[in-house]
Amino acid sequence: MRPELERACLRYRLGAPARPLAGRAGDRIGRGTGASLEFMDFRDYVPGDDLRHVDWRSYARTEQYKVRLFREEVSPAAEVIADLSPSMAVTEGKERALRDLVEAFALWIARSGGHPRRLAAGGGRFEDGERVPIGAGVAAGAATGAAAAPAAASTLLPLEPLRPRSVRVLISDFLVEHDSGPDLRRLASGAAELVVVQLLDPWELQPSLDGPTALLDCEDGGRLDVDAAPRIVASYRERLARLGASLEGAARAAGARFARVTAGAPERMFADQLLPQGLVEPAA
Amino acid sequence: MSFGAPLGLLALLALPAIVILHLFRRRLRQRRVAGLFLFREGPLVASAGRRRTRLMRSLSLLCELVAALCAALLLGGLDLGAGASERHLVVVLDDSASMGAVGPDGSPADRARAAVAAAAEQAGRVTLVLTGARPTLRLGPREPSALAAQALAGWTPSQPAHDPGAALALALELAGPEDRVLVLTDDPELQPPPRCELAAVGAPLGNAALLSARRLARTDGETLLADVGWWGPSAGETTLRVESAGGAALLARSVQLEPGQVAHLSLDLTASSEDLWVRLSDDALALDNAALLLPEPLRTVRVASLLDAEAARLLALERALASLDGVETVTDPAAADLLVTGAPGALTQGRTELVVGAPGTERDEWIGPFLMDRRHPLVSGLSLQGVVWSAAPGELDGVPLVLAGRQPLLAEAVEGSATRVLVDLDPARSNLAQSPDWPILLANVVERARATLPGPELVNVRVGDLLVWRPPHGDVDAACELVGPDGERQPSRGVRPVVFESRRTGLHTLEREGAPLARWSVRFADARESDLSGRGARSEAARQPPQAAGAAAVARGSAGRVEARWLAALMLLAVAGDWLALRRRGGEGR
Repeated sequence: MRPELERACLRYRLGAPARPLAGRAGDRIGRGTGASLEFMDFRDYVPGDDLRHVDWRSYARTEQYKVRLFREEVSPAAEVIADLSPSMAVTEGKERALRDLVEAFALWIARSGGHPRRLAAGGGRFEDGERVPIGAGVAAGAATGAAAAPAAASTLLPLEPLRPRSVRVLISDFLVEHDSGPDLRRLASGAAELVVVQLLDPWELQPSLDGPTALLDCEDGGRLDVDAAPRIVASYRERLARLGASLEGAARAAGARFARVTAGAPERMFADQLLPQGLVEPAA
Repeated sequence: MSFGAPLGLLALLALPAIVILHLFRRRLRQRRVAGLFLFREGPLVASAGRRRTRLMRSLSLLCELVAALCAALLLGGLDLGAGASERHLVVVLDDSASMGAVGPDGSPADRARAAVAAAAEQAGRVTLVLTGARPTLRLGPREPSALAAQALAGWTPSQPAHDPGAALALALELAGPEDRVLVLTDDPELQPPPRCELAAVGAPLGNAALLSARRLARTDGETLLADVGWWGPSAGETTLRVESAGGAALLARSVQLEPGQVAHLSLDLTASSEDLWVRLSDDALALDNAALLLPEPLRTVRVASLLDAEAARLLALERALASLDGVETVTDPAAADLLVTGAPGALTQGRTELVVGAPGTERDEWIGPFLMDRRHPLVSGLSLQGVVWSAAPGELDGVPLVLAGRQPLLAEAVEGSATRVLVDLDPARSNLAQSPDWPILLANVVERARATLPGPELVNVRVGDLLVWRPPHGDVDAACELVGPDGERQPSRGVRPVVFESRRTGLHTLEREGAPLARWSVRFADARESDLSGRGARSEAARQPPQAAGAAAVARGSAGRVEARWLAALMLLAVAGDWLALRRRGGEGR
C-alpha cells in the first residue's frame, strides 16, 4: 500500500453497520448472544447451559435458575467486490482510485476485525487485475460452473460464492445500460451489509467536448461521432443524473448504503465524499 | 537552381490540395468513454456537406506536404547544385536563311555549330535561342552542355530577314548576371547589347536569287514573270530553267547580271495546268534558287446588274467591267457574286452588293476636297481629281469611306460574309463615270467581291505570308488541317476563313478527313537574305562582361547540390512517417 494511501486510511474507519453482524468470533458485536462481556438478557436455565453463566445472585433471591446472556462478538466476513471491466480503467486516475478504494475498504475491514476478500465483479480474479468486460463473466461462469446460478446470471456478481452474512462492498461505475437493481438485490440477499460505491471519473461527471469528437466505447469498441454542442453535454448529464438516481434508489431498495465517489486523491475521496455520505467516520 | 522539367512543377498544386483536404476532412478527436450509451440520443456529426475546420498541424499533414513537395521537385527536375556551381552559357543563333549559305569553308551555320561546341565545353549548362520574328528556344533553358551538339544537328536556318532584338532580349532574360551571352551571326555589322559577346561567322559570297515568280494566263498560253537578282563582287551569270513537275525541262534562259542588278524576265510558255518548277543554277544559297509555281486558280467574279438602262449607260458599266480581268457578266442575280443595283435590297451571305444611286430629288454638287480613308482597299488608287459628285444629302447606312465635308458619298456595310457598297451618286449630274477613278473604283469593288469567293486567295506565296482559305458558303464544318512539306500536321483553329502562317518552304496541303481542299506553294524570296556580299566575320567581346562568380556562390554550389536520390529518400521517409502517424492514430481509436 502506498504511504499516502495508508496515511489517509488511518484517519478513518468504516462506519458502524446499521444491523448487527454475524460471523466468526471476534470483536464486533454480533446479532445474537455470545461470549462477550456485554450483558444482554436473562433466561431460564435449561440443562446443558454453561453453569458459569448461572446468575447465582438471582437464585439466592428467587430460588430459580437464571442464566445470564451476553452479546455475541463476531469477526465478520467481508468481500470487497471491484468492477475490473475496462470502463474502470478508462482513465489512469479512475483506475488508481479504484485500487485505492479497494485497498482502503479492505484495510478498514481488517482493522475492525474482519477478514476481507478482494473479488472481481463479473469474473476474473482481482489479483490478476484482468480486465473483463461486463457480461464476459456470465459466459465464463456458465462454462466453468464455478458460480452459483444467481451469480452466473448477473454481470456484477463475482464468480466465487459469497459467504453468508458477510459485509459486501461493491465498487463500480455502474455505467451500464441494463438495470443494476437485480444485481444489487442478489448481493444484498444473505449479506449482513451491502455498501455500494459508484466511482466516476471527473470527466464522466463534467464532460467537455473540444470540437467534434469520436467517442469510443472502451467496453465494446462502439463509436459515436458527436458535435461539441452544449446541449449534447447537457443531455448527457441529465441522463447520467437519472442513471445515478435510479442506482441510488435500487441500492436503498436493497437495503444497501450508497455513496458516489469522484476519482481523485485518497484524502479527498475519503474526507470530501465518503465521510459526508456516512460510509466512514473519523478513526479517533 | 534550375528545373529540368518546369512543367513538373505543376505537381506543386498537390500542396494546396493536401491543405484543403485537411481543412475539409472530417477530423474528429477521439476519446474513450465508459458510458457511450448516455450520448447516444445526441445529434450526430453531419456525415455529408463538410465544412471547413481549423487546420490541425498534425504530423500526418506535415509528412504529406513534405512528400508532395519532394515529388514535385523531383518531377520538376530540381537541381540546385547545377545552377549554382556550373557556368551557364546563353547562345543567340541567327536563324536567318543567309546562315545556310555554303562557301568554300562551309556555311556560317557549320561554323556556328563549332563555336557553340567550343563554348559549351567551358560551361555546364547551355541555352540556345534562335532569332526570328518570334524567338524560339532550340535548347534549354539551362540544359546540360552535352545536349548542345545534338540540338543543333538538325538546325537549318531558313528565316527571312528579321530583327534579332526580340531574341537578344529573351537571351538577356534567361541569363543571370554571371552568365555568358554569345551571339552568333553572319552579319558583322550587328551591334549586340553590352552584355553580349559577338561572333560573326559569315563570309562574303556571290549569290543569285529568284526574287519573284508568277504565272500569268494568256489566251494562247502562259507567261512566266520572274525577277532574278545577283549579288557578288563582279558580274555574274546564272541560268533560269523551267521544269515540269515530272522533271521535264521546258525552258532555259541564261542571264548575265551586274552586281546588285535585278533582271525582270518575261517568258512565254505553253498553257499548262501542271505545277512548274523554276530553278536557278546552283550557288551559295540554295534556298532562294527554286520556286514551285502552282496554277493560279480561276477566281472569276460573276456580276449582275439591276440598274435601269439609262443608269447603266451613264455609268458605262458594261465597258468598265469588260476592262477588268476575271469578271463574268451574268443575267441571273441569284447566281451573281457582285450585284450592281440602284437601291439596296436584302443582303445575301457571300455576295457583294454595289448600290449606285441618289434617293429623292434634292441634290448637292461636290467638287472637293474629298476626304478618303486611304487605308481601305475600296478607295485604293482613287484621286477624284476634277470630279463633280452630285449626291443626295443625308447619311449613308455604313462606314463612310469618302466624304465631302460632312456628307458621306461612299460607304461600306458588312454583315458576315455579305458586303454592301453604297455610292450616293446621281449619274446624270456627275462626271465620275467619265473620270479615270470610276473603273478604279469598280475594280476595287470587284476585288472586294473576289476576296469573298471560296477557296484559297493566293496559292504561290512567300515564307511569312498567310495561307488563307475560305470555305464554300454554307459549309459549317471548319475542321481541317494543314499538312506541311515535311508531313507536319497543323489543325485549323476553328475560325473562318482558315488562316495559317507559312513558316517553311515547300508544298502545303489543306486537308479535311484526308481529302485535299487546297494547295499552296511557299517559296523563299528575300533580297536582304540573298545578298551575301556584306556578310563577314568579326568578334567582339562583351562591353559589360559577366560578373565573376563569388566564392560564396561557389561554396553554395558545392555544398548545396541536391541530388535526386536525396529528394527521393526524403519523400519515402515522409510517406513512411505519414503511414506511422495514421497507424498510430488508428490504434488510438481501437
